[in-house]
Amino acid sequence: MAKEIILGIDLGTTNSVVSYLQADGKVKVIPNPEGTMTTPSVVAFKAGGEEIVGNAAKRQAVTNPDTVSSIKRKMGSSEKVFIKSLNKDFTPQEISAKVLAYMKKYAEENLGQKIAKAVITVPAYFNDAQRQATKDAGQIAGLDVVRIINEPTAAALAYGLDTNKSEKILVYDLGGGTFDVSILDIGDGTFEVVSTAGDNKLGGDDWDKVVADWIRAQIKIQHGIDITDKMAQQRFIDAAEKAKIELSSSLETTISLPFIAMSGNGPVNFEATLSRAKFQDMTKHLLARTEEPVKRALSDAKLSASDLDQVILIGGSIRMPAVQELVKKLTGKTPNLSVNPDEAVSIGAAIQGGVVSGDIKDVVLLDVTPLTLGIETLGGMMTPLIERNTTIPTTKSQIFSTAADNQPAVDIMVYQGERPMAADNKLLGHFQLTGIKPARRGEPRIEVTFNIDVNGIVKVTAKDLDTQKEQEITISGSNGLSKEDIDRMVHEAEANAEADAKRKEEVELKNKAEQYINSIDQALQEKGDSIEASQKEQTQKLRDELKTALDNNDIETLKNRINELEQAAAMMAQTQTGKSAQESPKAEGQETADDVVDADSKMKN
Amino acid sequence: MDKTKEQIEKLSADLEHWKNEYYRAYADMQNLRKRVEADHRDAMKYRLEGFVGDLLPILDGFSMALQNEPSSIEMKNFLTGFEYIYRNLVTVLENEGVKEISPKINDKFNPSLMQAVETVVDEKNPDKITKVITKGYMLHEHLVRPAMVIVSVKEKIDDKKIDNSPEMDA
Repeated sequence: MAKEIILGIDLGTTNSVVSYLQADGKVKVIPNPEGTMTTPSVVAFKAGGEEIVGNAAKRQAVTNPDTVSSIKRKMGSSEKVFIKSLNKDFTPQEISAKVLAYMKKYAEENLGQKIAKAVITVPAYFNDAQRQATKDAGQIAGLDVVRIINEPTAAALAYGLDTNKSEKILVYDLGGGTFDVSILDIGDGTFEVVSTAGDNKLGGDDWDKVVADWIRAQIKIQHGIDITDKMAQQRFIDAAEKAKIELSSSLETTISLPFIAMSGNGPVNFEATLSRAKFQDMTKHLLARTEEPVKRALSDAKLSASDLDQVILIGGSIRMPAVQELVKKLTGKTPNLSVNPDEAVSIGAAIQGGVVSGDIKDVVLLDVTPLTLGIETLGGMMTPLIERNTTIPTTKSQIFSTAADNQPAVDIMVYQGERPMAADNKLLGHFQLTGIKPARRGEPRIEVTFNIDVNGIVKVTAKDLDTQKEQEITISGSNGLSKEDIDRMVHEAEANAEADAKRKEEVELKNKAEQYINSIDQALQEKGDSIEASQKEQTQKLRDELKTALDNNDIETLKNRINELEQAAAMMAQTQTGKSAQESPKAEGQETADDVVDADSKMKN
Repeated sequence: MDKTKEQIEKLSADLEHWKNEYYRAYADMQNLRKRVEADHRDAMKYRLEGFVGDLLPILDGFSMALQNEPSSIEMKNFLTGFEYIYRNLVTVLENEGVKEISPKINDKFNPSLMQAVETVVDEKNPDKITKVITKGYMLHEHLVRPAMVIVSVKEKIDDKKIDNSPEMDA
């Protein structure tokens, strides 16, 4: 049976958001059937008894007087909404319940299970009647409202604030249509709302309207016509919103409205650039309206800005740089912006849901490996087995082989670090696996397994798959590194990335050259007699050239010769294809069974 | 003896507990994986959504330009060329799963696909499309933008009544 889910619902004045806590302790916002994360808090009724909720309800609003929006403003009052087509009165909680029921339904469809419980958020200033009405709305929608929590508290939860630390927090919430400021006092695991202030007729839409009016005025200046029809107004608003959003990331935007109207000279096309500075200038009176509530909230809480420990910004409109600058100016704090401002409240509610259900306590916090673990292979390279940031416990195996013919033993050198050359990393320990049967280089199969248990203890095992002989080492001091050491090692790896990559390439090239020399030697030794003299001579020459270049550390020549060699081999392979597949010698790479991750890696003796 | 028994009971209970936790962790992981896969499929399916949304004003521009009836032959030929370009663009989008919502006059107004921008009074034939201002677009099952339409209504609607937002004294 699926685990019980408690939804976190931000039941907003204009928009609502629903989310839930996943098994891994992360909160996920549930998209509505149209794929958007926020759902308009709008309900519409039709004569046949049909009810429309959300986006669709908003879209038909102008055609239907029985469309109810912003019902949140009436919650807790005895005022009723008369629905003409049904000749019936609805209480605010009944209307809110329609929104909640709609969200419950799509959450159930999305998650594939029934949902019975929810945590719902309300503004901090809601009184008991308003909170009770919200709870009732949940009940009508078939949801057991396990908690009603304050929106700023939910935002603080979403930011993962430590409730045991004593802190004073200011939450600045500028949504689409309302503005709220709250001061929270956190400590001993509780949140106390000390003061609230706001302006419930101020939001991002007001900024859009200013820009839309500016566009209309500009058209009048440029073309001498005043456009007033509704569709054009809608296009102005859309263009204004788009410009506002663009100006949050760029310093200038182009507003382009082709065919905005018809005149005696044919179509009227409008285009204008709007700078961020100009935008901020023409909306500064709106921004100023958020200043006074911030000051009032502080004075009501008998605090000065310097008493604040943190400032949290939520609501979509806080993306405007001017808003962030203002808050910084007013509070002297750099605001915290790491959580999606549209979703923070719902996320906090879902986290509260997790606390209520006990899931949060149950989330097992697993460690990760701070640095990569691996072994040294041919040429002094570090071959990683477990990459850094892997969640533990974990196990990883890889098959290696010998680097020389008749190699009787392999040294397993265990390293920790991010550099590609083993010597640049930290040696954790080493051991030897002996008793490998005489064989050509690359033939023995030695499986190396890294196992990190839940306590971070690393066990490295090497097993000769031919003889089943194995040897192991346990390293418990792998976490003896301090946070500083780890950071230093990661930074060193980043700083040396370029030089290291070059070195790694060289070593790989040399390993390859050595391998080719070896194969040539082997081929000449075994089939030397059957090869034409001229070809034999040519091959011998190539081998010697490779050997000289290798001995002299002449990387450039090595690169060129190997390239030639590989091209020649590829051509040979092409002409031979179809002749006889059996004849062709088994290539190193073909051996790659699924678990042989890197057949080229040979361990040094 | 009792002590041993007690210990066995405790260990058995422990064992049962961890066995449960172990299976639970596995189940959680499998469920999470299914979820991630589903999310990934969705993300792939709708990866173009933002891009398609950004393209819509351009499509509208074309559409509006082509609605004009030019008087000169030359202009007409230009517009025909532009119409072909426009249609090619629409075809490319259709191949990526974009569907046009293009209601006809007198179709029933459907708010799940259309947005009513204005109304006209028509007592006998309400709730019908009287004009399509811009087409709408879907990407697979998601509505990227509704079609903007003018809708007939039985009686004149007071604009003020629609925004049901009385002052709330907090």
